[in-house]
Amino acid sequence: MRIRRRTGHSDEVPASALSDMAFLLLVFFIIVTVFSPRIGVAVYLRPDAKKAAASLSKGEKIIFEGRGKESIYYKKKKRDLAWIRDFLQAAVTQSSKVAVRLQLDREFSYGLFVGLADAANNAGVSDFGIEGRSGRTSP
Amino acid sequence: MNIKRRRTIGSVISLASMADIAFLLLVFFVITSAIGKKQDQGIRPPYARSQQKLTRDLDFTLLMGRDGILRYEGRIQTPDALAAVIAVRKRLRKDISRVQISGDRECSYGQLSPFLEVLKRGGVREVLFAAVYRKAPQ
Repeated sequence: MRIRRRTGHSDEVPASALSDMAFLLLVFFIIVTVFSPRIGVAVYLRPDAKKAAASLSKGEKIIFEGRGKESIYYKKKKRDLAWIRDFLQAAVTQSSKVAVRLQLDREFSYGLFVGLADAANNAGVSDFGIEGRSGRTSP
Repeated sequence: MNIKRRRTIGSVISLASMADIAFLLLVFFVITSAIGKKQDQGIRPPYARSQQKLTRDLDFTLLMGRDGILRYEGRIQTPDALAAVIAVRKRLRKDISRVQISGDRECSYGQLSPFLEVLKRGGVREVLFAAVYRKAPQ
């Protein structure tokens, strides 16, 4: 009787390491994935805003006018948000007593309004308020 | 010659399907896990660079969609209705000092301002506007 000798090698690919590899890939993608984080821009509603605004001197009060949907003016010159960020940071460096007031049209963009509040917060402006276009103090 | 017969039943458990089982379990838990469901779906928040992270919505959250209509807990609010909501919250001794507003960036300030006035009159001291981080918002 002829007996065939078995070879030591198997034709099967070992699959036991597959789960490890799959999990390593999964962990890699979980770590690398970046979701755009949600943030909050705080605006303080001051009941004494009217009184505080009246007591400010001309140099301490920075007024931005929001005209139309997305035009921002400072001293009758049109400015963009990047300029305003730099300007506010420089202003706070010179004097910590800076107050920012917005005079916004009704159709002014909500997105830009939040952008302006964010610029003031980032610069360290503690006195931030909104005035009506007629000069009437609103929140 | 005496030849020993090999047993046909092996005692080794196959591990090939292990990855499939693990992934199925993972997918199951990912789908069923109770991640705090965001209320502001469909609202595209404005861009900001602030460092204040908003990990969870505040208890008192107002939503303003693209249509400019303000909603609280799914109900449409007018300035008077919002004043009533604040009064009820006060009566129930719920916090009204901080309010979160999740608004769409396409809205106008005019749609929001009457409500801000109501919030101020009602005793709200801080409004937190929800935004998404972007390095150069324009």
